[in-house]
Order: sequence, then structure tokens, then C-alpha cells
Amino acid sequence: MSLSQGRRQFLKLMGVAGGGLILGLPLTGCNTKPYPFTEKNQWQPDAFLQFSEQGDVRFFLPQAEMGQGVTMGLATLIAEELDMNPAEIQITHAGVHKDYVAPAMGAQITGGSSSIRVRYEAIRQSAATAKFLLLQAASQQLQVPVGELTLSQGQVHYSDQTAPMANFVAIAARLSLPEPEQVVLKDSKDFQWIGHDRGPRIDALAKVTGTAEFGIDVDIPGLKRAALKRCPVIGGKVKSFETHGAEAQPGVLKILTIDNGVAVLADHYWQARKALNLIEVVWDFPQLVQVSSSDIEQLLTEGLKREGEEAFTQGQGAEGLTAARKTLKARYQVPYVAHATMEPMNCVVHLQGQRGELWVPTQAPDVAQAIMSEHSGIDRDKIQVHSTYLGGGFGRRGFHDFVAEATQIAKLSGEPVQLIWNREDDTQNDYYRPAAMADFEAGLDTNGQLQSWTVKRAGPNVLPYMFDEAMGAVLPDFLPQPMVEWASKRGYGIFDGWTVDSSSIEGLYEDYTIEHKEVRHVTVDPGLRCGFWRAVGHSFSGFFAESFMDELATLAGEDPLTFRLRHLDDNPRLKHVLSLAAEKAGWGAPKPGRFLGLAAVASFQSYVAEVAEVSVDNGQIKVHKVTCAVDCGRVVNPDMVRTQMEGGIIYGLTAALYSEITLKNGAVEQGNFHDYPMLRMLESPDIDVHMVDSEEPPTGVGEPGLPPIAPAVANAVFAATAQRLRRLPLKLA
Amino acid sequence: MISFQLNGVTVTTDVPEDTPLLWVIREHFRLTGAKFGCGMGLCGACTMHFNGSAVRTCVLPISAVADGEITTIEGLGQAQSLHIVQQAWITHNVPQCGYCQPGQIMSASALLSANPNPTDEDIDSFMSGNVCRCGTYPRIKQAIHAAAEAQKNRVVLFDPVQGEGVTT
Ligand code: FES
Ligand code: FES
Repeated sequence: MSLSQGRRQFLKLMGVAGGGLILGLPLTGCNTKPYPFTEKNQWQPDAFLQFSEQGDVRFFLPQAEMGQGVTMGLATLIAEELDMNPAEIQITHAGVHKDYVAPAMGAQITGGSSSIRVRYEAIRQSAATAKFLLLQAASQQLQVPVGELTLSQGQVHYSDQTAPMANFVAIAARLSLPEPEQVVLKDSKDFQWIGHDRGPRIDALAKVTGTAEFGIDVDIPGLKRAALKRCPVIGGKVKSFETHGAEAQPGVLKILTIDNGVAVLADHYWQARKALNLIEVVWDFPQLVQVSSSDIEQLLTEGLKREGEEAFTQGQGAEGLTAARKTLKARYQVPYVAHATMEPMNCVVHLQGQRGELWVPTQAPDVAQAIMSEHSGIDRDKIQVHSTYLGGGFGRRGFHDFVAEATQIAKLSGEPVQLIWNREDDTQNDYYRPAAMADFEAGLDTNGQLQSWTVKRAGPNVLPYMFDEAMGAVLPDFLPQPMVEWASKRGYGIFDGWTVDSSSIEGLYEDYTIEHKEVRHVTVDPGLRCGFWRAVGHSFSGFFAESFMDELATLAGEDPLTFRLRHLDDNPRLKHVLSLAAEKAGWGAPKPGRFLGLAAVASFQSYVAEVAEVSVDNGQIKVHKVTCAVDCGRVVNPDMVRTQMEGGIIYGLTAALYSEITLKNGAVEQGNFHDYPMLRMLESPDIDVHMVDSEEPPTGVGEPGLPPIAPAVANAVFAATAQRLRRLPLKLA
Repeated sequence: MISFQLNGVTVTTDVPEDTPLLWVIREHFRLTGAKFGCGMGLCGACTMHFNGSAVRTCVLPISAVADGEITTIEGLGQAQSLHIVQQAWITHNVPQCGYCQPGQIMSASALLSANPNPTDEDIDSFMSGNVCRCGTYPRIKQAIHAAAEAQKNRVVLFDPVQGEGVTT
């Protein structure tokens, strides 16, 4: 049997007998397409792992590394089963292949804090299967019963002898596959790596020496650099343009008109950028030109007057309010915000006749591939995607407008092209976190217990934009392009009829035990495009619901902690982190001049509570310290959990204190860090993270640290000033 | 023709005088450790040392560095010869996405050579020109203190071969 037959059989067995989803393999089990980066003379038992006869272990990383630590996380799982140091595992960003599709995602998407949650079992199973086969092979070769063999540190151990694992790779490659139940995963009590911090994250060395390759660092022979001038209003088209001599500038190769702008292609980026400044374009403005921020406020306010669609009802719904002893109403609001990844959008496109290559920092390589296919006319199958490290993702890199642009420039010019956005391009052409406005009304009974909770949210939905983006990747190859386009442009039509986008309402109502609940939704989309932004709906709903909860505690005349705890009997994990954070922060006894606020939010199946220690001087809010407690089930890498809590808190704090994208005549008014500021070292609080020791299945941490921070700070500001701030960014009157 | 020292080696270039140093280093000399973040001197991703001081190279015309000394992250320390700041960054798990980190490290190493014992306030004011969107500030602060301490006591914090600290 050849290596490839062996692999097919492996997949078939795993796919069928193992219940494909467990391994993340397609249920058909039969794999006909080779893996993108398989090397000759290597044993690749499945999509994830490859062994060389020299004993090297290579992991094809199926998720995007955007800082969240997934490389370390998944390598730790492999290392645990193979009993080796994760630092010794070689990492290759997986290309596009159906076997890399994240379970329950439908496409190769990294998002929703899902990587560890959905791959915890599958990756361990993969490594344990490889170990099983290596030991079988060793048993045959050494004539020692398999039960007397162990594998660790790349060595097979038996009685008092050892032999390198490498000796058995060739034989293992020819073995038939075990039944999945023959493969036993390590018992958690024997874990050496999972749950321990035994070394730094494995991508750290490359990242501190400047050798980690990001999209912007990619260089290939003959590469030309492009800069693009777009309409100040997203979606505008070129009517006409004057070059003012741009074509004669040094290094300039071509000036090209594409769908959404005029591009300069040059030998070097700075040449392209400088020449681009000379070009003047007359634009055909889209409808969005009629919208300014004051209109958006107006549209949302009007929207809330509508009845909206029912999204969730429990008990008597809004009727429940009639029996309340005291009621409270409040309106909350957030603006559009941008992702501002540190690395601006960029990619390298190389078209070669009927084939193509794409180097791209992306959260969804298969979606990127489909978009390049759409704009080049090259079959998806013939496009090789090389993922790189991402200089931040936060949801932005699930969208690939920049790949569409670069592909068009490459197609028109016939050159290999790197398109680099500048900061202004990036801030002004984002897929923004939707603006949103919500009306809450809740009622207390005679015991001060919450008996009803109603909320109506107005704002745009993300799903139609995602649908538009990803359609090409999830529809079968054989559909003609016009059909894909038709289907994707139907986004709003399809979704609005039959469902409320869950990301528009998530987090508005779930966490507390309240008898009557009603959630309604009014879709109001002013036309600025939207996308997934760190913590998605929870990024605003956490602020709304947890600030309102504080208002209700005040109405009940009760401490915000005890008031919350009384309503969390059905949510023990959230209750626990809330108590833990409060205890660690010294709740109830703030330092002189400091004020505490707390909030707790369950999101992405993780539970996080935060206490913010704040002072207010001359109307300036300063956050000194944040105490965080997190329950994310079993912790794989404790320090990665801490870093993600820190990162989520600081990202959320930037939004809470500063971020607001505004429109004037359809154009985004912010451009760079002077008018769209980021939290800096000076303003950064000390952060103290506590993890719950848990045996529950692991869940994600990339997003859940964010939702509690804005309300925790707002609640502390209320404690300090008695001002209730109901919109972000927080500004004192 | 402009010539300068790049990581200890004399180099020359004939790019137009207004070309920012960042793009010359990245595209002509193909050292891509320094990053482009804002192009306006607002984020520090492009930080290098110019005659030993931290400078934002996205706004520094190449003409300004004629006959000067430029050090990039590649010249500060490589995998087998890590600068103490890079070591501290590893042991404190500072990098997340890593994009801002070459700039952070160039700033931090310039700070430590000017001020071997910085206080929290010194760090706050010196490092606030470097943005980190992933929120690594608390760890950067700890790592700078650790590097300062290690420098004083001549301690190696991280050796990639050993995978851990060894005292010299
Ligand atoms: S890129 Fe130079 S300071 Fe931002
Ligand atoms: S580590 Fe990602 S921007 Fe700093």
C-alpha cells in the first residue's frame, strides 16, 4: 500500500467509524484532494500531523494565529498526547482543505472564541492515533509487546532501552488504522502540559526577533506594490480621474481603474503611495452619501418606536411588567466602531494563467480563496492560499475586500501584486461593529426581586454582510458565479424574513433568572457596512444589560453585588466568577478616592466577571486596576488565558473610553490614531486575572474578557459621580 | 547617494531623499522586522534606533540618516543572541499577535540604555508612543522591569537552546 492509499484508508476509517465530526473530517470520510502542503516522503496520517523519518513532527495549524495563542493551545494538545515539548513541534499554517473546516462553522473560519472548544478532542485524537500507530510499528520492529512500550520526548522506551521514534515512522505509515475506540486519550490526571505553564508561547521567539512573517512581510520574485484610492464613501465608483502626471513618477508602472477606485502599481510601495496622492478622482457616490451621524441617531430613535420582531419571550413577556411593584426604563446606545488591527489590511496575489497563489493574513482562508476566484476567474481548486501570521484580527480579517482589490489589480496588470492599505484606508473601509440603541424596561416585585425584563434593540445586523462575504466559499464549486452573486446579494432579503440575527440580540437578556422576559428587534441599517468585532453582540449588550442591572440594584436599594447574586441561582458558573472577582478586588472597601464597579457576562460559553477600580478627576475617568475572574472550563494554557483576559479588557477599554466612528455625508470622519485613539501604556490599568479550576470541557477566551469591562467602568463612574452614563464612549457631563 | 550604517554594516542607497527610512529598510534592504502601522509617527510600530535613540522611521526621511547608525530589531538580537529585552519579552509571554512588538522592543531597549532603572512612571511616559492593539501593556511593563533587573545582575532570562534561564 502506498502512503497515499494508507492515508485515504485512514481517513475513511476515521470518517466513518469515528463519526467524522469528532475528527473534524467530512462525513463522507472519503478524501480525494491532497492536502495543500504535504511533503514527499513524509508520513501524514491525517490533515493535522506529519512525521518525517528524521523524527520531526509537523502540525498543520488549522486556525488563524492572530495573537490569541491558538498555536500554543493546539500544539499543547498534540504535545500532551505525544509526550513531547510543544516547542519542538514545527508549525505550518494549513492551507485550504475541507478537512480543516472548523466543526460547526461550515467554512475555515477562526472566530467566536471557538478554536479550543471545537478542536480539543479532535486534535488530541489525531495525536493519540499517530502515537498508537508509532507504538504498533515499534512493537513489530522490536518484537516487544506493544503494552511494554511507551513514547516520550521522541523516543520509544521499553524495559531499560530506548529507540528514536523516527525509526518507526516508515512502518507506521504502512499500518492499517485502529478503530477509534482502540485509541485511548490521556487521562487528565496524567497531564504534563495541559493546565500547566511550562514554557513560553511557542511563537514568541519569532515575534521578538522580527522573523515572524506577517502578510505585509511577504516578498516573492518580481513583486510589485500597489496603493489604491477609494471613494470617501464606501461603495462609490470612479466616474473619471486626472492623473496629474502620476504615471510619469519614478517607479510607477501602471495606473488602473478597478471596481471601487484607482490604483497605482509601482516597484516600491512609497512610490505607489506618493504617485497616488497626485491623482484626482471624480466619484459616483452611493446612497450612503446621504447619511450623517445625526441621521443615524434619528433612524435608531425612530426604529425603537416600531413594534419590531419578537426574538425571545418567556413567561408573560412584556405583560409581566403590569404586575411589577416598581419599574424602571432606560435607553442605551453605542456607536459604530472600527477594528483597527495593528497590521493594516494587505495581501499578495500572484496570478499565473489558470493557477493562482495568495498570501494573506486571514481568519478564513477558504473565503479568501473564493473571493480571489470570483475576481480572477481561476477555479478555487487552482488557487493556493498561504496563510501568514495576522497582525491582529478581532473579526476584521473574516472579510476580504482587500483580496478582491488586489486580485483585480493583478489581473489588469499581469503582475504579482502586494496591496498595502494605509491606516486611513483601514479606518475608513472597515466592516464596523454595528451602532445600536436599546430600550430596557424591568420590574421589581414586592421583595425587590426582578420579575420582568424587556428589551428592544434597534440597529443593523452583521449576518447579511457575512452571508454576502462567505457565500462563495460555502456554495458548491459547480454553481456558476452569477448564481453565487445573486444568492449573496440577497443577504438581507433572506435573513430578515425568517429569523432575527442572533448576534444582534445575544447577551441582552440571558444571564439572570427573571420570570417574564421579552426581547424584540428592529432592523435599522443606515447603510454603513458591518462585521464581527471582538465579542460581537456581547460587545454592546454586555454594556447595556450590566449597566441596567446596576440601575435596578439602585432602584431596589441594594448593593450591586448582592442584587446580582440573588438573581444568579440558575447560573452557578457566572455566580461563582462574580463572587470570586468581588472577593479578590476587595469589593465594598475601595481605597480612598477610588470607586469600584462590577459586571459579569457569560459569552461564547465562558463566564467572566470584572471589577474596575476607577477615579474621576476634573471629569477625567481613570481606570487604575481591573480584577477579573474567568471560568473557561478546563484551562489548556493558564498564561494564555491571562493574556486574553488582559487583551480583551484593554481592547474593550479603548472602546469604552474613546472609540466612535462618525459619518459626514456618508464618509467616515476618522482616519488615524490621532482622531481614532487607542489606549496607551499611560492609561493602561493593572490587571489581575483569576481562573476557576474546572473539569468542564474547555471553552474560548479570545472574546469573553471584553464584554464586562465597559459596564464595570460605567458602574464605577456611577459610584464615583452618581452620573449614569448610558452611551459609549463614556463621557462625563 | 546616501550611505549609513545598518546594523553595523555600511550600506548605500539612491532612493529619493524624502523616502521614509521604514520603506527603504523593508523593501530595499529586505529587513521586515520593523512594521508599518500608521505612517504618521503615532504608533511606534516602525521604531528603530538612530544613533542609539528610538525614532519613528515612517516619518524619518532617508536623507536625515546620512552617515548615521541605524539598528533594527534584526540587529538588536537574533534567536541565538537575544538582547535581554527580547529575553524578558519571551519569559513574560508579552507578544500576542506580535505586530507591534519589534517597535515596542526597540523603544524598551532604548529606554534601558538611557535609563537602566526606570520607574513605572518612566516606562509609562517613554512607552506611550507605542500602541499595542492586543493590549500587552501590563506585560511590557513587567518585562522592562525584569530586563532592568537582569541587566543589573548579569542574568540570562531565556536561552532558546536550553529553553529557560541560565545564570552567567
Ligand atoms: S508606523 Fe511609524 S509610528 Fe506608526
Ligand atoms: S501584540 Fe498585537 S498589536 Fe501588540
